[in-house]
Order: sequence, then structure tokens, then C-alpha cells
Amino acid sequence: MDEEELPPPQEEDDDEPEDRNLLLEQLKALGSHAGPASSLLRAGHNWLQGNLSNSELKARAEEFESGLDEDLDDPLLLSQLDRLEEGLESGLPDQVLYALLGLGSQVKPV
Amino acid sequence: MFQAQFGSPMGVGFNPGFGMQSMLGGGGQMQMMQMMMTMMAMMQQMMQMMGGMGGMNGGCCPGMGGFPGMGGDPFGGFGNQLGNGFGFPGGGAGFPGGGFPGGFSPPGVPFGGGFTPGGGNFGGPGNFGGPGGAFGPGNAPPAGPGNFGGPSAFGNRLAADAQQIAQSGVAGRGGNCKRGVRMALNRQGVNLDGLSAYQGADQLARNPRFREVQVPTSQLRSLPPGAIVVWNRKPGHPHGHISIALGNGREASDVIRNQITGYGSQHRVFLPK
Repeated sequence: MDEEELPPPQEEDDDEPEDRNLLLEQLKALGSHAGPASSLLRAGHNWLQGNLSNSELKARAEEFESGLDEDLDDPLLLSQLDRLEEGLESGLPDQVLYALLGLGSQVKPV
Repeated sequence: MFQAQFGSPMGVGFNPGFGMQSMLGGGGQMQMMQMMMTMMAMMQQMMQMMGGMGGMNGGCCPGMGGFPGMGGDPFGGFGNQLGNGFGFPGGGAGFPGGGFPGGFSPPGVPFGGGFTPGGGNFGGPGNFGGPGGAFGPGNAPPAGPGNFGGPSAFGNRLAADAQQIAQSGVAGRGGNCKRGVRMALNRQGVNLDGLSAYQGADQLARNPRFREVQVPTSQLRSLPPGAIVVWNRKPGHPHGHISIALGNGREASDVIRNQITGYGSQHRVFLPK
């Protein structure tokens, strides 16, 4: 095992749930970095705050998707686009939030 | 004499057991004291023997010769498996070397059952005697890169969540793998209870969204996205380790690192369906 793989001293899990406000802040921060997904991430943040319609966010998602390389084979990234679509259609804001965060972490900022 | 000295209201004195009562009437105080001293010496020897194996402080030391915990460890071997005085797991609990040495079982000592020496499945760093018994994959089928089943939508999402959580640092900075994995699973509607990482194995084994397989450590870096690896606890790492494979030879928990392959304890693998 490599030295870098050695886990540090351990702690118990505190079982605290994720802080949704913190996630929204993370999304906002991800959207503030210039990159191929920044426009979509900002739109998603607005949607989650009730400032954008479904159709507008969908349009941004399609715009982002059309900019992707046709040969792109990134299952994690593509899974988040599917999830975003499902979340929008099913009215599941948490899934939209997670999908956007996932997208933001998959797409490297410029 | 003895009765008179202690003024027992019951008129019998005390009953020390071990057939001592007959000695009392015959001026056997000295004999009784000697016998008690002998008993205490035996107890002390036994405690030293157990202490030397690292099992007296609630620790869990497979591979180091330790019994899995005594007191304060609900999943250890002491006091919870057989319901006897010490609760030694007569069927094996990660004691290397094939059985408890010496087979301590003093006749007539009321330990409520003592422990069952020998005959144990005391091999290697697995089998800690967890909640359902041993930490092990049970009857899980072997699997390799050829039949992992490829990425699944659930697995991809789980991996993406795990990666995002680890990158954000919200779960910690390397010391709380279970928190990161638990958060990622929560986003997929899967709960992971317990304070320690290793406790997730039995829960995942029961979860219909995963299937457990046996994967050798040499192939762990070929796991598909979303596969979860759980490592048993070991000396110095009382919580074990848990991580989610990202599908590229890396793993995410509270941080992202190369997939661990040599944690030094038994591991279990769960593939997302």
C-alpha cells in the first residue's frame, strides 16, 4: 500500500444530515467559476430558489448538453444530466440539487 | 467460632461455596484463606493472560492476538455472544493461531460457563464477531472485472455524489470515511446507520439495491462506479474503512484517493444494481 493511501486517525460518524443551505452555497460557488457548466449551475441555483421556471432550466440543460463532445463517454457526468431531467420532470428539487452539484464536480472549471 | 465472630443473624455464617463450609467448623480459617489466595492467583493469571492478548480494553485486535473487546464494545466477543460471564465466542472470533492457548477452564470456578476453548475459527484478521457473527462475505459469489456487470445508473449517481461530497470537504478531511459514504448513500435514499464504517457491511448485504461479491484485493481498482468496499476494523483503526469506487481506480469517502487495496483487514464488496 502506498504511503499516501494510509488513512489518518479515525473519528466516529456523527450521523448529522447534510445541511441543505450549505449545499446551496456550494452550488452557488461552483456556478461562480467560469466553465462549461457555470451557466447551467447558476440557472439551477435560481430555479432552486424559485426564481426560474422549469422550462428555462431545461433550456439551459439542453444548451449545456449540446456543447458536450458527441463522443463523450463520461458515465458519471451523463448520469447527472439524466438525474437533472428526472428531477425536473418529477418535481424533486433535492435530486435537481444533487444532479447540479454532481455536474459541477464532474466538469472542470476553465 | 466464625459464626460467633461475625454474629450472623442467620446462624449459619457465610457460605463461601467451593465446599469450604465444612472447613469452618474444623478450625480451617487458614486453609480457607490459602484456598482463596490460590483462587485469586488463578484469577490474576487468567487476567494477565487475557490482558497480554490485548482484549481487556475494549479493543479488537485480530492478527495481533487480541480478543475482540471486553466492555463497552457491543460488537466484541466479550459478554454478548454466549451470555456467559465472559462471553467468549466459542465459535471463533478472529484469534490467530487456532484457539485459545491453554484452554483455561478451572473446574468448579463459577464463571457461568467460562469460555469454549479451541475449536475456533480463529484465523486471520476477519471474523471479529460482529452483530451477526463474523465479518465476512458469507456465501457471496466471487466476481472479477469480467462479470462486475458494468456501470449502472444507480452506481454512476452514487459515485458522482461521493465524488462531489469528497471534493467539497463537507464530510471531513480523511478521518471520517463513513460520514462521506453515508451522505452519498442518503442522497440515493439509502440509510447507513452506526458510528463505524465496518458496521455498514451487514446493512449493505441486506440492501436489495446492492449485491455482495467476493473480489480479491488485486482487482479492487477495477470496480465499477458506485461499488462499495468495506474493510473490517483492525488494531489502531477501530472503525474500519468504507469507500465508494469511482470507476477509475480511485475511491471516494470523505476524501478521494487511490482505491485502498492493503488496509490489512478483511474486506467485503457490494456492487450497485
